[in-house]
Amino acid sequence: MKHARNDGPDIAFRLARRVVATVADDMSTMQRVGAGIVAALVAITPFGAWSEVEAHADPLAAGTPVEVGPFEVKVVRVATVDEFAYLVPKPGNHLLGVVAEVTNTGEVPEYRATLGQAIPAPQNVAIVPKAALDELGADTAPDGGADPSADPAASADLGASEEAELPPATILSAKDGTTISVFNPGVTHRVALLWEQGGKWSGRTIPLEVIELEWIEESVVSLDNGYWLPNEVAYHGRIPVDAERPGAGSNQSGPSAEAGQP
Amino acid sequence: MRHGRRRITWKGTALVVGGVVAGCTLVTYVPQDTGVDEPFIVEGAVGEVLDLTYAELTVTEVRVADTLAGVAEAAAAGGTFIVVDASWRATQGETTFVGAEVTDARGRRFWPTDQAGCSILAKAQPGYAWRATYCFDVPRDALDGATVRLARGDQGEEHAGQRRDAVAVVDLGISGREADELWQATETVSPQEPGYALASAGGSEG
Repeated sequence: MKHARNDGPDIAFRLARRVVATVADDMSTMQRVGAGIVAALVAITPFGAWSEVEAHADPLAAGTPVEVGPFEVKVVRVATVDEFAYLVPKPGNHLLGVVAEVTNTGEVPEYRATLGQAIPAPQNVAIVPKAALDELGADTAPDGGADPSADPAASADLGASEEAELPPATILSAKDGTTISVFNPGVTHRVALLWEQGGKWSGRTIPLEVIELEWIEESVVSLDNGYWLPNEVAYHGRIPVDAERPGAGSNQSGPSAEAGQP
Repeated sequence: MRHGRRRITWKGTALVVGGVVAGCTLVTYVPQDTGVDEPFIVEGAVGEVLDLTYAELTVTEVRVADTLAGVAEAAAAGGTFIVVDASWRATQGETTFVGAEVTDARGRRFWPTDQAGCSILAKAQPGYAWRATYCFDVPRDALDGATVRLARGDQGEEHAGQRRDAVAVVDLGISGREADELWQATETVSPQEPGYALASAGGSEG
């Protein structure tokens, strides 16, 4: 009788254990394993385990601004050029440039690399892969350019180069060809994202993706906190290619003579 | 007969839950002692010598430009460039001054660019003054009431590198009316290469 007043929360636990024990005692080991799996599957069902994974990529078109992480990005045009600013591809190749107007919509500066993560190299358009650049001794910094003294025999072949990892874009000012290291809040920059492209490619459009950037306040897998993490493809579209210099456009201004000429 | 079996009681449950709730309440609502992490702000104006204990700093001149003309390249601003000329005199030992940031009246932060030969940091030995030119690309609405924050500590990670250290905050002296005029002006500035500062620019020539 002395324990009677303490039976409250213990009753449910003891009852559940007795039920489980009664059922489990009559089961073989295999049946117990099976029952455990079934119980686990039932348990994860409310958390969307069986929901179909859908691609949520919205359409991307030139002239239409999109929000990605801390940036508003408006793709202006895509062009191929022989060279731009200090970037000179190896003979036979050219540069593929995506001209975009980029605005940091946040309150703090963002690095160029964050923008580079949001706009990866277009696939299947003969972008010279990263491995090839390494082998050639080219500048392989995150936004490094091509080495003009590279061996022409190592040119990227159509198709074969697509299996290797593609390099991040070299991001330069489309106005003057200078390197923009930081995107300050509220400032709109007209930038060119550039990749070296195999000379044999002659398509009229490129597939361009914009990757969603997720803000990680506190990482659960590393000691890094407070950074933008590339996530899934947020926007996708085919952008027509002009065979002109990437800095050209109706809004071009500034010391454009500094930029390389095709 | 069972011995040593622990029973879950209402009293024990209430004790544990109450303890967790009390702990969460303390962590959430009791102000943390952040004072020990705050930097020591030394405020000043353009032309004033500021003592940061580890260095003497003078912001010698503030200009606004839409184009920077360096030795190797020229750069056009996305917004407009605030060009800040400063003179550092290390007083304790060789010092690298990494912190450089403009803050506007809304609290937005702007970092310097290294375009056209502008400095993003400075490094000086004690005994002489070293000049540096910082260039910040800012939007129009950032000019009015902007201040520049210079220090030896890095401003990244919410100014983590400046905790419990002296930091200079200099009012750039740009009013609302001046901001409009400065924005509309089409100025080209040639940033000075880093080097020894003259006495007239906050140094003592040795």
